[in-house]
Amino acid sequence: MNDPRMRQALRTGLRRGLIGGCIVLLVALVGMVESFTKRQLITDWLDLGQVAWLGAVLLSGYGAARDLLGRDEDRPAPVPALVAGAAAGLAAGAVVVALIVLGTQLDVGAVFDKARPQLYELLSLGGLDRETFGEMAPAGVGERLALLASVLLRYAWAPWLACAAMGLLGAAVHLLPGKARGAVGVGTLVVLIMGTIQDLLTKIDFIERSTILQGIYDALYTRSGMTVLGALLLWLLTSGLRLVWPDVRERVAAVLPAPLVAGERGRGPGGLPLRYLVGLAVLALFLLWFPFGFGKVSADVMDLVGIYILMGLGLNIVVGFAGLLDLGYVAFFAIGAYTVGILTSTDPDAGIQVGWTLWQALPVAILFTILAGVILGVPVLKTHGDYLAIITLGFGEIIRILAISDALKPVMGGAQGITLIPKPFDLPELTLPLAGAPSDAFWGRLDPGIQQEVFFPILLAVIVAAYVSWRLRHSRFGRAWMALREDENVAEAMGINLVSTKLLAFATGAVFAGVGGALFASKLGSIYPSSFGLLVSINVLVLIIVGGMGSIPGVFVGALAIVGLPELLREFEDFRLLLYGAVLVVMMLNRPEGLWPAAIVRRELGRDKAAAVGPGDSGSAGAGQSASAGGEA
Amino acid sequence: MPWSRRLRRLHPTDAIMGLVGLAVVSAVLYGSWVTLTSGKYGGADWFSFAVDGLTQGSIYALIALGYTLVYGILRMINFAHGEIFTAGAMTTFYFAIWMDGKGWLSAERLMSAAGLRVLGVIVLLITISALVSTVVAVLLERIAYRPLRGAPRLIPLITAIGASFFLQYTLRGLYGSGIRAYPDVKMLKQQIVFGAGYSIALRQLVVMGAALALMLALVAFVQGTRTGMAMRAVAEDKQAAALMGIDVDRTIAMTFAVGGAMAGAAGVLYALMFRQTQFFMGFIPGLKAFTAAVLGGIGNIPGAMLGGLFLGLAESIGPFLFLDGLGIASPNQLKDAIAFTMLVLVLIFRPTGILGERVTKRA
Repeated sequence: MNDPRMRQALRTGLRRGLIGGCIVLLVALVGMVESFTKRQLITDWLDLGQVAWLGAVLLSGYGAARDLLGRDEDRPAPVPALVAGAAAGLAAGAVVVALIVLGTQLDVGAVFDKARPQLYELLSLGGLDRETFGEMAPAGVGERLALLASVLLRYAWAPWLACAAMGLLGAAVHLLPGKARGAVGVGTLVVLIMGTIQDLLTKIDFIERSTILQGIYDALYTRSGMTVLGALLLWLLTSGLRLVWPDVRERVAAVLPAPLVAGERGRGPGGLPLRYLVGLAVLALFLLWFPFGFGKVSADVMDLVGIYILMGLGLNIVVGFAGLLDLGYVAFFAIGAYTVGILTSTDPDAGIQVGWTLWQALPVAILFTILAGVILGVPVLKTHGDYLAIITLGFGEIIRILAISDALKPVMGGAQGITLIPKPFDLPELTLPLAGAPSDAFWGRLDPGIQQEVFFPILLAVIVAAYVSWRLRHSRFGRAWMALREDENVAEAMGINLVSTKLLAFATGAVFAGVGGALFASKLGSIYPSSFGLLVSINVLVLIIVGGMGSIPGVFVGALAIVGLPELLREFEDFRLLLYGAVLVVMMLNRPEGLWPAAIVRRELGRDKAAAVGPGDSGSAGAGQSASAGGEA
Repeated sequence: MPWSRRLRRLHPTDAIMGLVGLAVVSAVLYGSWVTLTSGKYGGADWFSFAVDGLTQGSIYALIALGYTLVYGILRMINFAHGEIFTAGAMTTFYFAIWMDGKGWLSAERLMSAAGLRVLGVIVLLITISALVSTVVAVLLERIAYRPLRGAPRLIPLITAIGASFFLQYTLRGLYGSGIRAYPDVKMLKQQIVFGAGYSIALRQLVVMGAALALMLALVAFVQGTRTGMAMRAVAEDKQAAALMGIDVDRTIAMTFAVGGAMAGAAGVLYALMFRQTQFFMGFIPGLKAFTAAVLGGIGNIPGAMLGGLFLGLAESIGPFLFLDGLGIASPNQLKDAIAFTMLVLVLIFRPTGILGERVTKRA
């Protein structure tokens, strides 16, 4: 052990391993391990809980090897890397063992809610089962020592070795050549995803209706989890595909007509590349078929995603384009929902009886949200950054408190909310005339519930909103917003009218949210103040940040990831906000530009990766802390 | 400037805002006048409202100190500060029930051996809670905020929002989602009566006394020690401080530690007042404390204390003073709305706060 290289490897491994061990500790004690265990990924072989904690150990082994070798691949040093990986695994394993020992000696469960016998059973890989654990009640020093020895000898080695193996495996993966590493990563990821979304697949109607798809499903899955063979085949298939993908892409490009290939300059009407138009047409057909093909559950989730896309597009204008951080965005959503609710409710006990339809109430709701946008906009014209965020947060809370209060109960319904809001319209039950399909066939019968009926107005609104924000983005106002975001003073000096520019951003953002709220009200049929908490604002903010601030496609990606995914994975429900928080922090630390960054941000980051930390008001922030502190003195 | 020229230069939006401000002020004055002339509440009522407000306000003040210290030095709002407060309060809960189980929290009178022991236990709990919160605050700074030094302003703010949710729901995962009842310290229910109807609960005296002591200690620390001087220097100018040989990173960590300790102590006081802890408990007090910090002038230590007390008073007296007079039903429900309205109004009309001079346009 006198080799300095080895010493460094051990040190790196230990550091990574201890960090990994702390993450495992956190994951275990907040209850993720236990809760995720119910989700079998590969029947009897692998569940999501194991992925959660053993995966963390694997990643720490991988990280240790990467820390040691650096990113450059010219210095292959397999032995120290493997040593570092194993050390990381052993260190993380030691933390796990320490938790098990502590749990058998002390009543940890009295403080930590989730430190239950089941947790120790899972962490010891089944060795320390519930009955044995239940019988352990040490009294006196001798008994405690005996218990310690027996736990260490009988139950601790399994998780410890497993962790060491995981650490080694992680380091080994890092040692693979880049191409193979990518293939392994993609294959594993696909298997994990397919295993996780099993429930979702069972809820998709058209799979049940098609014998071929149902056959594939039956081959891949058991009742809970994937079959071993299916998982293996899927892994080989996707890894293999990833390996040969560049080759395949070239061949396919050679066969396709030229205008459809990326980089070719074939243009269709409207100056768009032809491949975009083809893509859009396919997407449009798919979306028209979607609510019927996928069924009620999927349509319900997509309705929510669509409403969040609407809000995301609106907030994207305010935060992403104009750089005005608004934390009270839910206020506009609430105003839209309440306006429609009050005007259309057929509840005979309601304070105001109007009884309009959604389509009569919608223009009024839009008008109100524009007004609210301006009313909120005027006072905050002169505030910036953090203060703006807090003021808007205050506004959002005030609206919610008013909606709950008894003072406005005759109009807003207080905590009981507004009920009996009518549906937008009734779709008749009909059969699609496609190729004379039988009524229960693949292409589907229209048997619309409210989830499917409301899908189309939402879709329409999303399309209009996306088009409007796309056009605005490239208009005079869009450029003014960008200028405003970068530096308010310079923008003003360039002749941009700050008042009208900011107010337009607020008003447009408000309208999108208001329409979202209106559709939300008529989808649910009843609204309560509790649906309009700060959480909605945070959700929308998180989704545009995850997608990429200022990026319109990013809003769609973000909404699917942040709103769609958790709706489908019920296990995550308890940990949703915990994971959101973690995602926000990690995104800000590692990828502040988002998953699908706006073109301009991508360009900025591409040119100067070190200096441009991310989108947002990089200009108005001054050239960093020291400069801004100097400027303020 | 002569009035006529001022009037001509007045921007229409400023004029609108001025009118709004005038309307709010006159509504408050009218409401107060109606309530006061109706004689609905007597002197004893006002006294108890004021004591409630000052107790609540001293807790706000302690939390607000953390916001102000961090803002003064980093120009960022530590959105997760409310969760640092929760972390201390929830962890200390287990020590509190353990000590209660030993009988250390039961005493009849203050002036007895048992009574003094109860006070000692409370001091101990405050210390433990402050330690826990300090650890959380320093870790938070190290992991989430330090790598972002010099990033555009929006980025640390969003990180802080993320950290806030992460901490909140980690605490929920660790300690469970239920409301835990803090031990009921019988001795603190004792009423100190002076005159007809005028009385203070010992609980309130203890909370106010502890808060006052902590604030004095903080001022002494910031003004009287080398570390405190380093903190002031870094807040003034980071580069110059670094050139003078001050370890800026260490000083910033220290600032988070001190702010965290205050929040942790406030957590125990809050739990003694309301006798419950829950993972969500820090959110609203955190927002209110931020309001208090802004009220007093963010970045300004005496300002935070003053702002806290003022906010507490406004919250407890306000609903009865003017909302009642305006004929609004169940005014106490709108307590939070008063706090947030005050926040909005102060940020719009006097963003420098009561004592603040240091906030410039950048904020």
